[in-house]
Amino acid sequence: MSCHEVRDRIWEEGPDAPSVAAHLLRCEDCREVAAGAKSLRAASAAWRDEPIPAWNRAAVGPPRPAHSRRWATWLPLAACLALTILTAFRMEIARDASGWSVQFGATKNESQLDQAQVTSLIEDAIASSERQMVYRVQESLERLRQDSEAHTKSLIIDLARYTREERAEDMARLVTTWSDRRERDMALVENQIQNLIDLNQSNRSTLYQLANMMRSMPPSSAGEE
Amino acid sequence: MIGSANDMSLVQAALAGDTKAWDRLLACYERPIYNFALRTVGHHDDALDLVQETFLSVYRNLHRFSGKSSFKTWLYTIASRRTVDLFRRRKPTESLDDSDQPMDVHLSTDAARREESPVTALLRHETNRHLLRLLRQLSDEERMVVELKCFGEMTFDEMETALQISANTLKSRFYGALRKMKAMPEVAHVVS
Repeated sequence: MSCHEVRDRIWEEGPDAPSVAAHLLRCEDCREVAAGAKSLRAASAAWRDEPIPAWNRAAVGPPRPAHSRRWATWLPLAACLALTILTAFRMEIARDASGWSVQFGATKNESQLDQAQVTSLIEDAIASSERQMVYRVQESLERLRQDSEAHTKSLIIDLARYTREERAEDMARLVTTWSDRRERDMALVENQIQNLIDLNQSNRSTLYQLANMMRSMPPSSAGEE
Repeated sequence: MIGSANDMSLVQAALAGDTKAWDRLLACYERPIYNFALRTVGHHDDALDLVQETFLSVYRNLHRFSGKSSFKTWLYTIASRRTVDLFRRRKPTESLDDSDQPMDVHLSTDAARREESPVTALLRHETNRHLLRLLRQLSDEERMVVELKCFGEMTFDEMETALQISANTLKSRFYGALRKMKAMPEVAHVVS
């Protein structure tokens, strides 16, 4: 089997496939390819897909149909037009015991009063709208701040827990290593002390023997020597 | 569901102007294509540009999709061609070394979405960053072949059609990349 065939099989069947084993024993290049294939498969299995961030999907694809509730877009404009007409013709709709009545125009004083009231109402509405907008913005900012704070806190807690667990494992390993080492050292010291005691004992017995020998020797021969 | 028959019906519906069908196709394939782009170009912003260019090209050529190959293979063909265009456009001095920062930005986006815990996101991010560093040591051509073969699961014949490069050249690049990876100490780190 040629190297080309073997390399195809290495990827398709796996680097440990029996059909390529004999070739790999005698071919250094193909062994390298097999090792690379093994590494790449393992490395690619470790990849975890990243979620896609927001992107402009509307820029691609078929044109989007217009919103079905198109009348809703025109509703505010129509309401404005109706109000303008009502104001321009000074129209007044009223109901009494005789039924509904529609009246156009007004006295001069009434008209001036109405205009002042309308101006005041508009100003009130604008002020109210501004207040609501400010309130909503503040509320959103506050919510955002709270979310952000909670998220940061959660991140710190998770990281702290993760770090703590890792450190606890390290400490346990360190303590075990130190204990083993201490026991070994103690055994070594005991052994050496025992050796010293034995040596001391041996020295003492030798000295006794020497003293006995000296004592048993005749004085003349001792003086000659 | 990603499947040939289902894809074909979605393609036909999208061609008829059905926006929901097109949205479903996007939903199925935008994440795999984004990850494909991230691994080949190694840069978050370039990857997003590639996603947009790929799907724009897909929509413009949707009427040419005959169903002879799977939609996934056809999509990867377009994505790989757009990536090769990007490699050509990219200046020789530009490198992938600045990929750390965009990935960090992306990580915070994920965390904000709360799709997963921050620690899981961090671990995923770190693992992926090591693999990106590893792939960065291959040439653009080698990285493309490794991507299509290993992650895209394409055959050399399909890659020949997609990249318009002979299968023998592609094999030579692929096995050359494997021999390089054998010699890389970073592989052990990624695998561990």
